[in-house]
Amino acid sequence: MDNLVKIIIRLQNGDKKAFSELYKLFAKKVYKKCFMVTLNKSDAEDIFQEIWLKLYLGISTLNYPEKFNAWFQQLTARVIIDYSKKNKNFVQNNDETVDFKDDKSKHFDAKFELENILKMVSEEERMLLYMHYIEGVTFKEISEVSGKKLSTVKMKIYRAVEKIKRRLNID
Amino acid sequence: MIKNLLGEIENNIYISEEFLEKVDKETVIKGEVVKFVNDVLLFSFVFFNLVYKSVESGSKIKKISGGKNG
Repeated sequence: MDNLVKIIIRLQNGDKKAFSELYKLFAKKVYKKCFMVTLNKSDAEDIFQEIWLKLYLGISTLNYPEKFNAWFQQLTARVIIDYSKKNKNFVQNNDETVDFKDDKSKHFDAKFELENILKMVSEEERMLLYMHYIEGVTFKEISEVSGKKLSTVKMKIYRAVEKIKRRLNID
Repeated sequence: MIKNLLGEIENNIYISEEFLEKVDKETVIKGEVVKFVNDVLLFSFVFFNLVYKSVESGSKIKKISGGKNG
């Protein structure tokens, strides 16, 4: 049996240590996703905590532990979308800047440029871009996870890419 | 291009280990508290409904029987 499946089953049976193991496996990945969507630390942390609490409370409802990844992606997407709806324009109204590593590297200006580019697209578009290009989720899977039509998902990602391309002057 | 762009940003996101540890420890506690509160609320709801319904049905019976007697 897959190690992840074993952890899920243990967690469903009330083993609290299993939560910690699951958390260690996914925490950084989830945090990065939250950050990429919100582009600020405090919103990313709020969403991140909400996701883990929802996971803890809802894991018993997962009937097929082997489908955890899809279930968790769906949960994550829902929390992000709900938060985004409740806090409309939270990125634009937030004075915080992206919390990049404070390494004062020569790429500092480039990072600011990247931040500005990402701010051109909405939080929902950033989430879709992240899922597709970083997590490798297919359009069809994104459609299932987000509850949006396949054509809508494709169009949103296409438009987001076009916006970024225009900003970068890429044909 | 987009993958490289996102990957560049993703690789440079700073994550505080203290924050990660805090969430790890606190989520289980918070989750148990939420579960407990939900259980209490559910119990209260069920209890209230049972009592309320029995009182309601009792009063109706009383009224009906009172009417018949009267």
